[in-house]
Amino acid sequence: MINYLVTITIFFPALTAIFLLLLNDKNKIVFTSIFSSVITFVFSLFLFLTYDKNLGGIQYIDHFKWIDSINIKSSYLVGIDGFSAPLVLLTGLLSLVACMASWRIEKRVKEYFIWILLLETSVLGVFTSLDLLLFFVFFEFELIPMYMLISIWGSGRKEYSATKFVIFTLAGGAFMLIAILALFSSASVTNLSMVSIPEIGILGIPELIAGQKLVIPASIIFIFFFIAFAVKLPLWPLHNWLPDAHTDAPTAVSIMLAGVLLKMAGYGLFRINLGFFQETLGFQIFDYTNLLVLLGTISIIYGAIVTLRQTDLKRLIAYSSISHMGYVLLGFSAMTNDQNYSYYSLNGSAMQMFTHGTITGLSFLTVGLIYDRTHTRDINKLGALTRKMPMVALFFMISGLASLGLPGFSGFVSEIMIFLGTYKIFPVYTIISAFGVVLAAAYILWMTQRALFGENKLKSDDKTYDFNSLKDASMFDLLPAFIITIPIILIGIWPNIFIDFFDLGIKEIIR
Amino acid sequence: MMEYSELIYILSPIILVFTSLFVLMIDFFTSRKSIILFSALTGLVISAMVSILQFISFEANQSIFFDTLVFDKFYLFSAISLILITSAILLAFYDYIVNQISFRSEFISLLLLSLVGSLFVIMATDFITIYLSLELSSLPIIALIAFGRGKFSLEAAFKYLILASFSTGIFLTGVVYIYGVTGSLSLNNIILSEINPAIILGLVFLFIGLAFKLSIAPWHMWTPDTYQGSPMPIVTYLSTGSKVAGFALSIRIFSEIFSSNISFTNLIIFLSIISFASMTVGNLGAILQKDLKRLFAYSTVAHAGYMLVGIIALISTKSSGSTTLFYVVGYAVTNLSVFLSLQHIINLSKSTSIESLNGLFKSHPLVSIIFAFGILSLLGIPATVGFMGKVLVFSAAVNNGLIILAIAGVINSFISAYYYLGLLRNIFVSSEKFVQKGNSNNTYTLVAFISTILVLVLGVYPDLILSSIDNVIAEL
Repeated sequence: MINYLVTITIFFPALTAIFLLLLNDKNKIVFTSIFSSVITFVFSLFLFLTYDKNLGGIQYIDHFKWIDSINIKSSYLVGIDGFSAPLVLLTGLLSLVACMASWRIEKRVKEYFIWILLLETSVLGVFTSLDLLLFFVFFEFELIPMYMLISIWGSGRKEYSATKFVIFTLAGGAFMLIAILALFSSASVTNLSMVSIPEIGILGIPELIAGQKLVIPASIIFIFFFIAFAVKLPLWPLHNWLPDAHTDAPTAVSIMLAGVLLKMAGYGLFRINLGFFQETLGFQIFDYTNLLVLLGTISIIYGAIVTLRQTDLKRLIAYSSISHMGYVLLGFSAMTNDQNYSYYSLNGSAMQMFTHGTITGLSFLTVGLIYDRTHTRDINKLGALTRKMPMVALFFMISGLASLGLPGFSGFVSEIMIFLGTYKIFPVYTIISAFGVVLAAAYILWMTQRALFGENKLKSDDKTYDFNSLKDASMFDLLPAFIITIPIILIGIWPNIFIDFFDLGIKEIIR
Repeated sequence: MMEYSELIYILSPIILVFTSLFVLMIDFFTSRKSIILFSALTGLVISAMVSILQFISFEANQSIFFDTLVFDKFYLFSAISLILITSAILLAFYDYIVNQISFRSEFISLLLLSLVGSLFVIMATDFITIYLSLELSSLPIIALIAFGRGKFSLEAAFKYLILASFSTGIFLTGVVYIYGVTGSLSLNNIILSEINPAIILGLVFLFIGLAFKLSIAPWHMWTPDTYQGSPMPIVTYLSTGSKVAGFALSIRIFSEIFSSNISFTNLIIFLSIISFASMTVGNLGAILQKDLKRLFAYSTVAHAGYMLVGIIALISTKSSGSTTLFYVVGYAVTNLSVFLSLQHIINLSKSTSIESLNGLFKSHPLVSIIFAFGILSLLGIPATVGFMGKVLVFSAAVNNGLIILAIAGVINSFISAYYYLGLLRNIFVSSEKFVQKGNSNNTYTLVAFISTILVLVLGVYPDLILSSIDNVIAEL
């Protein structure tokens, strides 16, 4: 094992960001950033491939004492396990794609890449940190890069959307901070480690609070954590920021936002809400899954219905994200004390996080390519794009079909796993949620039919773009789309590479 | 029995007094502006070194001058921070003092005297001494405010004068009640063995007297006006040095008085309401402001509310005092960088309105980044000292069962995002062009840069001073 590999992976983008300060030439900046994201991706791939599945547990641990005060104790503790390894890989992959997709950027290039790289560092930090306060630090730090990226390089009502995003997330973060402090106020909690690591003698919070009476009731702490993640997921009725933020963000930021930032919430649900509250006194997560599944189902159906009404391509994908992230919660809620029983749905839920990351990433990427050329995202002004840009349309179709859950693509695998698992526990909710798939088929097919096929609907006096001079994307534009398609098809054909990992991780979270 | 050897314990204030007199006299003999400032800085550096040496070679707490002063690590730690902050202010505002203040030696001399007063405030363990040193620290400030040349300066000075005397009166009333019940003026001898309405009343009066100085709502009214009318070095001193001294005094009083096991539920509820009011009034007030100095004045009020949370927790658990001390030191460092970069910006734009920040980043990236780090620290974004301070203070609150207060604090810091982000938006996002009307000196950015580094270092690795702060509070 190589020491400090996780730490290097987390901070490599941030170091590159500092290095970028010295550069002035635009091409050098773009090249350095893409190169750095390639290196980070290689690191994350290396972590993923060398994670020893036979050994299991937390690997590549870096541990230092950080804050050692009477009032709070916390340590710098990072490492990966079966659950976080695929998400680290996803972050590396999507950051690479995001950097490559931004090579055309003209405005304030240096700052742009600095923020993107800092964003990557903070997301990697969230997925690898095993100390609760450290987790929170990375979770909150991501706000500033996102605020800057949306409000400077965005379009439309960008400042409004950026502020809305920050205010929603900060409000969620406020709840999380209180929950963390409330956990620490209990006498039995002597450190803030999120997991137990026997190798270095650390007892995690799940063990420390098991069966103990907490100063603040466990149910309140649970709800506070849940609200923080529900905002980020986003869950109906806290989803309001997402369509605005997505619509007004630049392409690469939409990719990062939908691809990895939403997954931080799912990761938190598994690691904290599920990990901590299994054996707490007076409140166990298993007794309250009815409420979770209800929220998940509402999100799925609500998101899908609202998606049907959208005419802006980006907004449409944003609302479909709400619906798709609802599946994460649906799969998450179908859990019981019995490991084998909830195997399918929890695994499917984790898979859904990964697959949604790649699929939406591809969707936003291709919408960005379309928008670059047509300068509009309004479906009513598009149409017949397959004739002029077949490659972009092909990738857009792939993302659409994967998103509606066509067998052979990754979306199918995760959705079928979720439904198989939840049907045993919540048959009614599963049947209702399954209509989400029907609705997804409706909005995806209807959208592609209107935007890609048929006749071009641009009015003759509308000078938004000239249909006859439209050109297909260049090779360099299509390269990131190609890269991101690989996992979509790979998982569709051979899901086991990731299922093994999530299986391992989830079995350790459910004890 | 007093011995002359006890003078060694108050060596740094003595050095400062002599420096202050020397600065005043040297004005008669030389017209060179730099000598005045140079001698003042030399005196400050020497007294800081003396304090640091005393801190390193510290042996045991000493009660000196007939038990009216105490020499302990707490005093030394606060004194070192105070002296360093004042030196940084004088160094950075060199240009300002030379060009915009008519009576510079008097100005510097009075500032040093106020600093001496603040040092004695932290040392004092007797209510009479506390009263005298509080007066010594605030009377020079009144004159210093009036040194400003703005149209609001006299108004600001007069407001501060009236309210300072008023608050001292209330403070003394509180002392009278406490003396009446316990029969002692010395903090060491006051032992509250029972809850007596007169004691509660006395403590409330005492607290209100302090709250004026700390600009805690609803006794904050002077803050925005004074900030707007005062010369910037004094604004910076009021929001950094003055705060450190005031909160250090509160920590000392509260930890000495409440060392018994009685639970002061009513007092805790009263203080919690005040703390909540201060945060809310500060943040909501700041949202409405259009002037940068007034905005930061209201932000000071809000931060005083957060710091009070640690003081309330101190009533139940003594060790919670370290959170407030950490917060106030971190806040002083942050505000130092904020106000210095603000002065730099004001020199450039010749305006204090928020709109004057528009497009600053494009024309002056360095000062924008320093200013932005300061704002992020005030907002409490991770990796800055402001975040660590808030985490510590709220954790102290939750540990002592004040979860509602912690929730109020966290929600408030979330409200404050609105106006802090508004400033960032003006600086970074706005597409308007920055209107430059003057030039500025790089000393502001240099000193602000150093304090920004401190903000980040303490934010990433708070243990650097946190362990010694814990230690300092434990030996109180």
